[in-house]
Amino acid sequence: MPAEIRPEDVSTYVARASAGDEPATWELVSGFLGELSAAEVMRDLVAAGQHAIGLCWQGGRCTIRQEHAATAVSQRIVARMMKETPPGRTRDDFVVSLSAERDWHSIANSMLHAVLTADGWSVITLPPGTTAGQLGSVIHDHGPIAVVVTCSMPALLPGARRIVMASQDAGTPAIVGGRAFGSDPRRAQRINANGWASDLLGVPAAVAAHGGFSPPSERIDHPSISEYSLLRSQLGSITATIQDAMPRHIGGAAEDHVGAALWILRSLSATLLCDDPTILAEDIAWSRDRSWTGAPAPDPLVDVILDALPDDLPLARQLLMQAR
Amino acid sequence: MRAVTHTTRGEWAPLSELLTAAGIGTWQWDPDAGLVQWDATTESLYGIEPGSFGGTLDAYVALLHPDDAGDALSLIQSIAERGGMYTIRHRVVWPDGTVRWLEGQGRIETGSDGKPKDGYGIVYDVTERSTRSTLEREREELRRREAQAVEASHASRDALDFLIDAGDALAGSLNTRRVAQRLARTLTSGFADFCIVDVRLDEPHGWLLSCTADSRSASAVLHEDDPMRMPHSALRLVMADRDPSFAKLDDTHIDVDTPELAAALPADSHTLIGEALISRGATIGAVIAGRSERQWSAADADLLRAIAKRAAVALDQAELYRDRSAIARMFQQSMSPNEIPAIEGLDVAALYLPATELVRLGGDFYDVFAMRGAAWSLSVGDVCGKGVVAAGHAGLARAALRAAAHAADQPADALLVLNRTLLAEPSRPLLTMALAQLRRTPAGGWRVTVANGGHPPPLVVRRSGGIDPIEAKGTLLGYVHDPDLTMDTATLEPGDALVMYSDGVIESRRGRQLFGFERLKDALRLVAGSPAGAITDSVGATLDAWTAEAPRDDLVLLVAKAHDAG
Repeated sequence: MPAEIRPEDVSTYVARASAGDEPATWELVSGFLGELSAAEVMRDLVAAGQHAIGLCWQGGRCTIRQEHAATAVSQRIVARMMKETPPGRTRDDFVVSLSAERDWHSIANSMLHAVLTADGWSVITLPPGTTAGQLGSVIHDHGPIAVVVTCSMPALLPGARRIVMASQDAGTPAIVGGRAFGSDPRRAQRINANGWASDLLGVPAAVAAHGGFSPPSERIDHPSISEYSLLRSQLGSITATIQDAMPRHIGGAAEDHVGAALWILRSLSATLLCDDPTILAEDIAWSRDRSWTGAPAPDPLVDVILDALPDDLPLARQLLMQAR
Repeated sequence: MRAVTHTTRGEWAPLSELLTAAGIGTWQWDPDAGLVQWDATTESLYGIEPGSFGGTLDAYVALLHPDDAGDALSLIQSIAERGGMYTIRHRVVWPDGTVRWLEGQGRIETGSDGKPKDGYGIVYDVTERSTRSTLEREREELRRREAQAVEASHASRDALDFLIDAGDALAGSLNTRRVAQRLARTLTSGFADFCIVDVRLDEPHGWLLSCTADSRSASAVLHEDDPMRMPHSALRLVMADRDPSFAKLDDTHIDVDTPELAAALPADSHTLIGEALISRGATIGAVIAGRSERQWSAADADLLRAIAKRAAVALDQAELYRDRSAIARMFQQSMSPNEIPAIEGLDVAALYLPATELVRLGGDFYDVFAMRGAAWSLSVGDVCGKGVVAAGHAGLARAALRAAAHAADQPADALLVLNRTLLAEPSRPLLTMALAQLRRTPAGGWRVTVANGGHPPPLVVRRSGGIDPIEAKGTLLGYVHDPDLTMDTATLEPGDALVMYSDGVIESRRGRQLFGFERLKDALRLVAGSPAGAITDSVGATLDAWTAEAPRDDLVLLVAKAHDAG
C-alpha cells in the first residue's frame, strides 16, 4: 500500500462512505494505517473525504442522505481508529474539545478527540449545541488546561468567539482551529484566541504550547468591532424587517430567501468581528456559484439587507456594497 | 580689568587701592599681641562697621555661620600652630541676617623656633560662585532623590503588576485545584523561588490538597492526601500554635528548622514567609513562600498577605461552586438518563438543549428504560415552569413514571398512575408527556404504542421520507383526576424512526415566525433513513440556522430508529 494518500483515494473514500459501506471504507482506511499515523489518515483521508462530501452536497451533486450516511460511517471509522491506536503516553492534564456555538459539524470534534487521545491527553468532548455558558460550568467542574474549539464555517466565527471568551473568563486558554479560520492565524488572533492550530495534526503541539492559564478575556480592539456589537444587538429587528420585506421583493414564498439573507447577515457579522472583508466576499461569491442548484441568488438579497440595515452601520453597508 | 589695573595717568595705583577696588579685604595677625587687624574692606565683607572688629579669635568666630564655625576654627587653629598657607571658605551672617560666602587665603610664617611669628591674608566674597555650586549640589541631590523615587515607583509598579497578575490568576477559575495551582504558579513567577499552597478539601472530606511550585521548573505539582500523612504541610506550619511540634512562622521569616519541612523544600531554601488562607472566619488553608537568596522585606510580607486574602476568597468560592455544581449534576441525572441504554435492533439518540446558559437544567426531560416482557419505554415530558423548580418537578415525574410503567401494562395506565402521583404532590406540578412503549415484531420491526398527555404528537419518519403522526389524544397531567387518555399505535419497519420532541422544537422563533410543525416535518423528511444521531444533529442544526443568533427555549428531541434490514 502506498504511504501517501492521493486524491483518488479520497474519491474512493467519498464513494464508499456516502454509500454507507462501512466495511469497504474501513478496508481503505486500515490499508494506510501501517504506513501513516492515525492522525495523518484522519486529516488526509477522513477529514478530506468529509470536506469533499460537504462540497458535493452544497454543489447539489449529493443528497443530504448521502452526506449523513458518510458522516455516520466516518464517525464509526474514527471510533474504530481510536480503539486500534493505543495512546503513546498518558498525561496528568486534560483538555475539553467542542465545536463553536451553533456549529453542528461534530465529525471534526470526534477527530480532535482521537488525535488528542493518541497524544496522551484525556479529552472531554462536548456535544454540538453546547453553549458558551455551559462550557464555563464544565471548565469549573473539571479544570482542564485548555479548551480546543473547532469552527467549520466563517459565518459561525461569532460562536467561536463566545466559546473563546467563556474559556478565558474561566481562566483557561482557548485554542482554535478548523476551516473557518483559514490558512493563517489572523482570524484566530482577531478573536483573541490563545492559540491556533493550522490543521488536525497541529492541535497537540498547540495544546502543549498554550495550555495552562489564561487571563480573563480582553475586549477585541479593531475598528469594526463597535459595528459588530451594534449589528448583533439589532439582529432581532433586522430579521423581522427582512421577513416583512422579502415577499415584496421576490413576489412569492420567501422562506428560503429569508434563510439565505440571514446567512449573509451572519457572514457580515463574522466579517465585522474579524475585521476581514474576505469572509463576506467569499461567502457571497460562493452562494453566487451555487445559485444554479436552485438556492437564492445572493445579490438581490444584499439589496434587501441594505434596506433593512439601520443607518448607524456605515461600515457594514460599505462591506455589503463591496461584496455585491 | 584695564580700568582697575591702570589709572588714567597710566601709572600703577597703590596696591591698597587696587585691592579695595577689587573688593578684596586684607588682614594681619600679630601672634605676640594675639590680635588680628582687619582693613575696612574686610570689615565690610563681614558685615560690620569699619573699625568695629574686636581683633580676637572669638570675635571672628562669632561672625561665622554656625554650621561653618567649627570647621573654620579647627582649620585656623591647626595652621596657627604649624604655619603654612591655607585657603578657607565659609559663610558669614551679617547683623541684618544676610548670609554671604567668603573665601580667604592666608599664610602663617614661623620662626626658627617653629612658632608663628607673623600672619597675613586676603578675603573676598564668593557668594555668587558658592551659590552656584550649592545649586548644583542641590540639583544633584534632587537627581539622586528622583532616581530613588523612580526606583521606588518601579518597585511599587512591580508590586502592582504582581497584584494584577495574581488577581487575573485568581479571578477566572472556580475549580479548587486549578485555583491552588494558579496561586502557586503566580507566587513563583518572580516573587518567590518556591511555595506550598495547602487547601482543606470537602471532598474527600478532611483531606488536604497541597500544591508545590518552584520557579525553576515552572510547574505546580498537586498532591492530595490525608493530612496525617503530610507532616510538612504549610497549613500545619502556619497553624503551629495549635501544633507545637512544628515551627511557627511569624511575619518576617524563619529558618527551616524542622526536618520534615527541610525534606519538603529545596536544599538551598533560606527564608520563608507564610500566611493562613482565611475566608468567612475559617482557616481553609495556608501558603508558604520561600526565597533562596533574596531576603523578604516588610513590603513583601504585606504583598503576600494581600494575595492570600484574595486567594482565600477565590478558593472558598470554588468550594461553594463545587457544592452548587454537585446539586445541579444531581438534578440533571434525575431528569435524563446519563447514558441511553443500548437496545438491540434500535438506534436511539437524544438531543437536549436547555435554555439556561449556565447549567443544563430545564423543564423538558426524556427517558429510555426497559419494561417487563422485553418492551422498552421512551418518554418526553415538559413541566410547566422554568429553572430549578421545574427541574425538581421533572425529576419527580421521571421517577414516578418509571414506577408507574413497571406496574402498568399499557402506556395510558402508566400515565394515569403518574397523574395521581402529581395530584398528590402539594406543589401541584403540571406536565405534558408523550409515552411510547416499543416491542419487537416478528418481522424485525417495532410495534409502538403511544399515550399522550397533552404533548405534541410523536412522528414516525418512514425510511422513504413519509411522515406519520401518532395521534393519541389526551390532556395535561396533574390537572384533573380523570384525564381522557386515548392510545394510538404504529409500526416501525426497518429504517423507520420514531421521533418524540418537546414544544421547544416547534416553537423556536425567527423574528415573528415560529418554526412550527410543518417545518419540522420538512426537516425530518430530508434525513429520513439516516442514523438516529444524524437525525438529532440535523434537526439541531436546522433549528440553529432557523433561529440564527436568537436565544432558544428548552428543547428535547428523542429519536429511535429501527435497524435497517439485513
